[in-house]
Amino acid sequence: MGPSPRSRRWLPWTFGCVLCAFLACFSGRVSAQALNASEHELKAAFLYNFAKFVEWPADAAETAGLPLVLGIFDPSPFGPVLATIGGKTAQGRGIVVKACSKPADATACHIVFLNVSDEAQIRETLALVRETSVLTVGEADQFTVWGGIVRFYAVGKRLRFEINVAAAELAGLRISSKLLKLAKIFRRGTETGPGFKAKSD
Amino acid sequence: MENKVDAKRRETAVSLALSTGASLLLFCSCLMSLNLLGAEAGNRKAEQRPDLFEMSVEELMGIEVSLVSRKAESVLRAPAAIHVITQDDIRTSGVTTIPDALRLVPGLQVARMESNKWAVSARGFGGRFARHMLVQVDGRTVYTPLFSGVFWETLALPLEDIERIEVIRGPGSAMWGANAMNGVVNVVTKRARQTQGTVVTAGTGTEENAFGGLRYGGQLGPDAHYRIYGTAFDRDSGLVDGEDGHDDWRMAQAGFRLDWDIDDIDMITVQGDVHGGEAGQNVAIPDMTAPPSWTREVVEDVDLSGGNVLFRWKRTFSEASDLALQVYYDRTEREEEILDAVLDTYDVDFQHRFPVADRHNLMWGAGFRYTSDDLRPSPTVSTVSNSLHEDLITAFLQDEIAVVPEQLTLTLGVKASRSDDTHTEYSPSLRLAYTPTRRQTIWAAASKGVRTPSRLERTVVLQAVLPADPPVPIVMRGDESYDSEDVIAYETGYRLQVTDSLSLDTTVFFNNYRDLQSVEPESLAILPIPFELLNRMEGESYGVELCTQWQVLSWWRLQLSYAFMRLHLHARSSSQDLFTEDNFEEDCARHQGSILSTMQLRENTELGLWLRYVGQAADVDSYVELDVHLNWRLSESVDLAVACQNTLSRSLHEYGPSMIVSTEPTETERRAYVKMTWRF
Repeated sequence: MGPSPRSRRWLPWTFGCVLCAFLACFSGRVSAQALNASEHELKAAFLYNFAKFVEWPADAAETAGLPLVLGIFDPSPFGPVLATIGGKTAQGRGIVVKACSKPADATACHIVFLNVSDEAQIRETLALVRETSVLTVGEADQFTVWGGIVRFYAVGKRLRFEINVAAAELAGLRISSKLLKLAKIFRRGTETGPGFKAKSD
Repeated sequence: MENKVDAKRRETAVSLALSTGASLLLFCSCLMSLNLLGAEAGNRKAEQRPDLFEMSVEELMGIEVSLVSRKAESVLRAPAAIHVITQDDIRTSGVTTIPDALRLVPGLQVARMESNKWAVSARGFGGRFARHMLVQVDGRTVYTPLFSGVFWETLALPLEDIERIEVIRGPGSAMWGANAMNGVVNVVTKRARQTQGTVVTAGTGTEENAFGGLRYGGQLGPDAHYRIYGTAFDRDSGLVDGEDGHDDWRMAQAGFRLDWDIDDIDMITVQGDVHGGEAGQNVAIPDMTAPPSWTREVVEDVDLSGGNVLFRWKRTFSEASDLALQVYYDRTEREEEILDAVLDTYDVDFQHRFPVADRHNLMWGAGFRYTSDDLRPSPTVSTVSNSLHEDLITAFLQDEIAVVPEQLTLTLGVKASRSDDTHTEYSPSLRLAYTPTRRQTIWAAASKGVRTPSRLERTVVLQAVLPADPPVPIVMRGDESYDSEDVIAYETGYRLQVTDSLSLDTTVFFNNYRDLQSVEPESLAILPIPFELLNRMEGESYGVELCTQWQVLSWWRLQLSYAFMRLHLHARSSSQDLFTEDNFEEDCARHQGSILSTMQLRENTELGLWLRYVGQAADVDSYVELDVHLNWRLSESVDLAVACQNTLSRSLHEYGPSMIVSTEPTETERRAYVKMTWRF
């Protein structure tokens, strides 16, 4: 615009020059990346780890070489992530993903992720697979109280998990101490402190 | 004497901007050297994500769930008309300013009045001083209490650093600040952890004469990250009858942000910016010695400067419980022929959220804001006292009740605000959300919104000329008795995630306004005609807003939005208001629509096409416009973008002349730019 006595055209450019000079001094420096992921990707990765660190009862003759079945209730929140997990192996066995639509579908799984919000459906499923060797994983606040084995919960923006040891024993599952050490342990009536303490000990 | 003071103040402004800038750079250099000495932790692939499936459980426990996914879920369940503009939307639409990005939101009326001025409003009552919408950047309000509105031209933050823009139409829930009467815009910038490494951008174009920016993100420890940035641009003017409109402008802004996650529980953020620049305008200054126009035209550069520092502490107890404390200071200076003002704001806000008795999630908070201004009398604006300060105290309480857990949620909230010169205003709200399945939500809300009077409405005398034929000089006088405006809004909405790739969001609203501003003539016998601002206008508005997000193919995404609205105003019988009704009723288009198409043409090529329709409004014809944006990732570290905006017309007139403070509207020209981005 026309010449104005108060024009301060130089201001932005001075800024610019100073900043460029500053860039020249410091360019090329790099540092740690942002470690974050979508909630579902992260949960899928946890599920994969559970498959690695849980031992199913050894009626080995029947199951050796057969794949581990991971049940996910419809609608699956995972999207394409599931395809990734489907191709993995754990404990020398392949993993296949099975879509579950009703509680009875869970009985045919090794791990079932109860990604549903309906309390009745959760409890019905838990009742059905109780004392069978199905590792139940859920997100509901009361999941472990109802007899579920692993419950995801969040602390701040990080994901944690709680393990109901009694329910796991009932199901005949052996959970690796690696997992137990990192989990919050649920015991009926008494809940011990947060599991992440174990890391810093 | 006066001139001397002026000159002195101007000098102070410049030196403030420069010295703050300089000290900021100094501070940054210190951070840098600390970083050089300190741990060179981390690895070198700045943007490449590790494979989560290769990670141990310990490592997974250290990963943050990115906000986006959880936000998306909470947006699906929110009992309000909320829309989120993501960084992807901003990038693929190719916009260069925040108000232009807001055109993506259904139900928001955005018009570029001049190269450096916008009229942005939600659900009507537009204009440059659209006074019913609260705008915040990272929790700091940028709504000016002087004139009740937002000086959009001062928002020069780099768009690359924005994580998302949350927009709520209608009275924001109880937790939002004052004046969220018809809407809230909350710009959220990325956390420093997400902006590591060096990024340099530079570009030029037909209207964007030159622009560029620099950002550096580093680490002070495993859980403390920072970034510093600087950005500047020079934009060309628009057209008036094919001639230069003198509204070219240039700004520079620099700032920093430090995020320190002390542990899983405590997080601290410190951030700040300084900006300075000038924006040209052609303004009609009232002049009682110059009939018949009663004005003289002045071409001038508005001097803009300002800065702010903000501190935020957040303690997270669990997913459902946290508390946050935020403190900030903000200084805004503006100098032009019609307005010469300095505004200082000190603000403290506290929020606490915790579950009670299984089914209740309580949230309460309180805030205190102290503002102090210094207004210089000008030919247009005079005031009883040149310097005023004001205390504003707010408090809110909100209870989210899980009537049926995971399915039916009732949210009751009330907000109380009290300033020095208003009685305590309560804005209650009642919101109900029914989520029968994970994929759909039906919500309904009834809420009250309040806008507290601005400085102008209470204590300022404003000279103006009505753009009638022949023009009529007037004097508009604010009054101490001017009261808050309020609205009762009834809204209902439905959101449906039809499939993984298709979602729908519909809102219907009906607003009932009371005590709206009216401009009352005190006598028609003298010139200039004296007017008084009173609250004698009432009205109602209604409308529909639709938005669809559709991932048509893995490489093709569409976002469609449409909005319809009507506004009816009627003066009370005691009112003699002559123009408020007409001014606002026809001010915004009844129909608006937009289609944003994003295509990933090849692995490294992204094409954004954005078609917009805005229906006819007062003084402005309907128009269709198309923006094209093409982005190539030339290598891991270099991006090249080319954009053409307003492709369909040589020049576009988007908004009529303002009623009171009359700067000459200009036409935005078809424009193109190229932009390079380097990441190290």
